[in-house]
Amino acid sequence: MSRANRHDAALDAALVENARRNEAEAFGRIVDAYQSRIIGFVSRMVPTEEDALDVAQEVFIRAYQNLDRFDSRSSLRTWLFKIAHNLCIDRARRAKRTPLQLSVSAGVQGEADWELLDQNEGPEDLVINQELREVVKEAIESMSDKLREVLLLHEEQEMAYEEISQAIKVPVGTVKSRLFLARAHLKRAIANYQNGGEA
Amino acid sequence: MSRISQELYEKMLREEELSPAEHLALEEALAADSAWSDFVQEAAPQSEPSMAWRSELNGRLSAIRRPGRRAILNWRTGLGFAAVAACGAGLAFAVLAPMSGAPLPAMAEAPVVEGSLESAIAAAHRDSQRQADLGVYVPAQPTLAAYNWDELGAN
Repeated sequence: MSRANRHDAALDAALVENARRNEAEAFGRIVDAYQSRIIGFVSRMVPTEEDALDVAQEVFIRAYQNLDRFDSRSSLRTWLFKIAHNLCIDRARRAKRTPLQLSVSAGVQGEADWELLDQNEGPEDLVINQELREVVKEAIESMSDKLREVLLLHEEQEMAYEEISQAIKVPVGTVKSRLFLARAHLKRAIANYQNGGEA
Repeated sequence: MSRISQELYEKMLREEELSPAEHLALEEALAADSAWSDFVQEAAPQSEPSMAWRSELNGRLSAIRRPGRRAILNWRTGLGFAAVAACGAGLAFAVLAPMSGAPLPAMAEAPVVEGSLESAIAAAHRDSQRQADLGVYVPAQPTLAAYNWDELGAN
């Protein structure tokens, strides 16, 4: 069962329209619906918790200021995560992160990772305890921003490939490649944990 | 299940464009691993914001003065209406108000019998109109010479 909030697209459209008519309560309901998801995403994309809370607020401030620019060609969810993506990039630039941390291949061990792909074992057989949660958390943190972003938007926020493509402005094929590589990174971390090695 | 070759894997690392066959292999590999969604969600930490965070956000949102639709309509529409009203007033003034030097619409000629009292009065009126146009009043000269006074005395 999905943990992510499921927000009806028609309800979102109605909330946006009401918020445009300066109904503060309507925008408050938009915040209610998306605050946890935005904070959850942003907190894994910026260096500190303080940054995450600040960026998350900024997402809603920007959305409120630019409500008139939102068009219904994309969903409200896609639009909010697009704003979040852009603000996270800005924050990463300000933190002067190195290009390696931003590249797809950061943390990837090339041939060693590819060999792991031959394993048919999926996550269904894994028991999620606190230790494993910590392994997964560290694996997500250690992968590149580009991979992490796609992993979180697809696996956690349950966004479709096309939605992710619109939000982060990359082709759908690139979204799929990055998702595959992100999963490969997770697999390696979990395999190392199971074998008693380091993630 | 389609396997991902090492070559394809390295192409993805370099973010190179994939062939249709490679795209298909990638699709199949992703579909086979779809259980990762639940796993990541289960393993990810919760992120409920605090009331302090929400309260601060509400304060910041309240401080933003979004241009209200009504406010915009009031001053812009008012300005527009004022402009239209001014144009309309000017047009009305130009069309309806008599202008100096402009010829007055010709009066309908009443059927009068030459030599009758009515014709004499009409002639006197036309004279006085012409004088008014010129801005000069000249007592109307009797133009009743053609009038037959004998008729008046005869009843």
